[in-house]
Formats: sequence, structure tokens, C-alpha cells
Amino acid sequence: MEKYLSAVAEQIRCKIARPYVEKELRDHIEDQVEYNISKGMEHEEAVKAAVREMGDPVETGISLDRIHRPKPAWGVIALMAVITIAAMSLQLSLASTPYILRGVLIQYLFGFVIMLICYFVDYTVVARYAKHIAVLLMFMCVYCRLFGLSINGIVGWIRVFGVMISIKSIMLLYIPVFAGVLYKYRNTGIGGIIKSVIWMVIPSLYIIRYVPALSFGVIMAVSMLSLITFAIIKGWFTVPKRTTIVALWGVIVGIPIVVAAIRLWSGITPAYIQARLLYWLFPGQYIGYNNTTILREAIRSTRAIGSSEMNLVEKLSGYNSDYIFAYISSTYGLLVGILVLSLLVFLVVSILGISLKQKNQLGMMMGVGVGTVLMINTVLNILVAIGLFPDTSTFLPLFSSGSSNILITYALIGIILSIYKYKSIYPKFVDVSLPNKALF
Amino acid sequence: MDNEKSLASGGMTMLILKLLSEKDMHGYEMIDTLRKRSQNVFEHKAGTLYPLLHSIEDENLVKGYEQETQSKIRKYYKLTRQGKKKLYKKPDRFNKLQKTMCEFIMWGL
Repeated sequence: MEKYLSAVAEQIRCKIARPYVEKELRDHIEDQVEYNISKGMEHEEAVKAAVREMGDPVETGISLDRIHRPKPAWGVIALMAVITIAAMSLQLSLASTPYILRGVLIQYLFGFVIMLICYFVDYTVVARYAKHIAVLLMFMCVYCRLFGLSINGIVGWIRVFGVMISIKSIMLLYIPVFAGVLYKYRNTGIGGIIKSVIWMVIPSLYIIRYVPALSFGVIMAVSMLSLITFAIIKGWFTVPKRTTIVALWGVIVGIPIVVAAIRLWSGITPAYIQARLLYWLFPGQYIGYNNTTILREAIRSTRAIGSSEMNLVEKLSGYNSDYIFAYISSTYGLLVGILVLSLLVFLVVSILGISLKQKNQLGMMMGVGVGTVLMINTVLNILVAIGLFPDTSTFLPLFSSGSSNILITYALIGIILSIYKYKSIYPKFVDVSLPNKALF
Repeated sequence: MDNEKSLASGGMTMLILKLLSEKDMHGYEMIDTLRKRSQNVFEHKAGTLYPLLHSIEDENLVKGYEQETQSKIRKYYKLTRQGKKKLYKKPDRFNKLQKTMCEFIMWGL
């Protein structure tokens, strides 16, 4: 039997797939042996007959090798190439700041390289050390607050290999890592959910309070809360599904809303946030913070194709790539804006599609996390850019300038490529426990 | 030759889908059921079942999951919605092929 199994395994070039295939074949042979013995055969004879029944191991192995091999997600890679070219061209043509062609090219090229590096990383390794990586990321947040570098007076940057990276962007990586943490709590009850919520709340609150980045912290929290919900729906936790989900959202969304309402009512909320809110709610009645009105005006005056003749950069007193969708639409026409948006929608839909079809549950959760955070960011950014949401700092993935966001988005897409690569290799569940559990 | 091969594996795929439409099964159970139903006429080597199962799992026609039975964790397969669609659509194609072949033979006579 061992000879048969190793002959099959030898044909499968992907070593990760071997043990899973071997186990299934071993189970089959053992069942057959049991049956043969029940028909009166001696053990040795029963094993021989069972192995004979299996047929040619080399032929089976070759067929299995054809199935269980790493598969590159060519569709996503092609889509990323198209998006990269479109984003580079738009950035070069729109940015009024003294952009250097070489700088933008290097930034995107570097991003593509990071994506490919992540493609070669096995995502289950990330999950194995999920808690360590999560702690490291949180530590980076604290480090950044204490010793971080500042750009234009904003603290929150660290230098990685000579590139200035914003801590906010780095924290985007926390989402797929959090999926790994969730996976570790699989098959636990309410205790596991509470622990997951703690892993969710600490970085989100820290970001909101100390980075400080309110909208970004909220995006992080909502993305992670969606992942916990998805895990409950998928039966990862042994809890009553509906009650737990309602309670979870009630507490985690309800409490901040009540707190925010009290703060707003009692006037503790910073003046600039109050102004942004009031201006968004009652345009025309309040003056001062008026980006939302300008953006609304800009979107109203766009043409289907071609420039609206409105100098948006000047009106918004400077170039801010958060509003890149408004610039694109008012400079080249709404159709070009919609085309850019369609590319991103297509990307997010592909990511979610790949993830939801993923047999491996860990890969599915990590992929859904990446898809969710990119989706929420895109939706919020567009809503801000067309004046339907109070002005807040967001970015349009891959299109807004800023090397940090671009590089980290490429890394996130790289994780998706890694998940797809192993789609025919990993089974539904993989063991990601560490041999030494003393630390966590 | 290629057509013959694909038809053969296509037929085998349909057989597996049909079996799984009755209940979820593991590999050995499928082979065992096929043998019993064909009164041992079914001559496929058991090993060839797994490449087929894994490839239709890859195509999302079936879904594998692990379950403990008789103190052993086994990989069971379950028909997916896509698998059901294929199972109930394919007979038309078979009927068409059968009809064409009959017409062809009749024409020769």
C-alpha cells in the first residue's frame, strides 16, 4: 500500500497537495481491505487485492498532478495591468503638483513587483502567524505615534526600504491578517467571538483616537465586523447565528452611534467635524467648509465626454487625489469617470468571486476581507467625490496618488493571487496551528 | 480518439453526479455503489475515480467536505447547484447524440 501511495505522490509535483491526496487514497484502500477481509481474505492478500483494484499509480498520479498544480489568476493579473496603465496615465495627466514621470512609473512598477512577491508567499503561512503579525502591526502603530516621521506636518509615516509609508496604509494589511486570527478561533463559541471582537476593536479604536483617522478606523472596523459576521454565517462558531449577529451589530454599531450623538449634542466633537457634517446636511446655510458643495457643483456640471471647463483644482484650493474621481469626470467627462469606476468594480467583483468560490475556508475569508475593505473604500471615496458623503479622507484604490496606498493595494491584490494559486491544492480546512502555543 | 475519451469521461462524470444527487458519498462508497448496481460489470480501476472527482470539484460541480464516520474522518462529496444544473441539462445532449447516431445508421441501411 505504501509503495502504491508513494508512487502516486511522486507524480504530483506540488508537494503541498501530496498529503491530502495520499490521505484520501489511503482511506479508500483501507476501506477496501476491510471489505476484502470481511469476504474471507487474509490480511496480506486483502491488501494486495485492494491495491490491485486501484490500478496504475503512475497514471493516477499524472492525472492528479494535472489538477493539483499552482494556478496563476491570469484574469486578475491582466485586469491589474489595464488598471495600472490607466491609473498611471491619469495621474500623470491630472496632477498639478510637479510630478516626475519616472517617480510615478517606479511607484507602479514597484507595486507590481510587490504584488508578485505576495503571489509567491503562501497565504496559510500568514494565517499561521496571524496573531504575531497582528501584534507587530499594532506595535508599528504605537511606534509611529511615538517616533514616526511627518510629511507636511502630519505624523504617521515610517520609512520602509527607503520608501515613506503611511501607517494608515500599512494597517490595511491588518484585514487579511485578522481573517487568519478569526480562523484560529474556528470551532469555538461565544468566547471566540469576544476574543475576535477584541482583536478588531483595539486597532480600530487606536487608529480613530491616536493616528487619528476617524473614517479609516471606521472602515477598518466595519470590514472586520463584516468578516466576523461572515464567519458566523459560515458556521465557524458554535453559536446561534441570527441572535449573535443581531447582538454583535447592535452593540458594535449602536454604542459608537450613541456616543457620537452625545458628543455632538454636548459639543465635544471637534469643530471641523461639526462643520463638515452641517455643511453636508444643510448646504447653502453654512459657510466655511465648502468642499462638498464644490464637488456637488463639479459633478453637476460634468459633460458626458470632455472637459466641463471648471477649474476644480483651483476651486478646491489645491490638488488632492482623494477627489480624483471628480477631477477625472470634470476633466475628461463623466463617461471616463464611469469607465475608471467600472474597472474598480470589476476588480472588486473578481476578488469577491474568486474568494467565495474558494474551497479553502481560510483563503475565502482572507479574500473576502481584502475585497470588502477595497469595496468600502471605493464606495466611500466616490460618495465623497460626488458630494454625497461628508468630506473625509479616503482614497480611490490604485488611482489616488500616494505611494503608500498604491503599494499596499498591490500587496493586497498579491494576497488574492496567492489564494487563487493554491485553489486546487489546499482542502477545505488547513491546519494553521503553531507547534508552540505558549505565546498566544 | 479525443472525442471518444471525452465522451467516456463525460459519461463517468454524469454517473458520479447522478450518484451524488441521491446522497453525499465518499470515494469508496461511490465505487462500491457503482459495482453493486452494475452487478460487478463496472470495471473502472478505483484509482481513476479520484482524478475525476478532484477535477469536477475544481469545476465546482461537486464540493468536498470532511466528516467523521466510524471514528474515521473521511472526505465526502456533495453535489453543488452547478453540478445539479449539469446533471439535468446533459441528458438532452446525450439524447441528441443518440438520435443523430441512429439516423446515421438508418441512412446507411
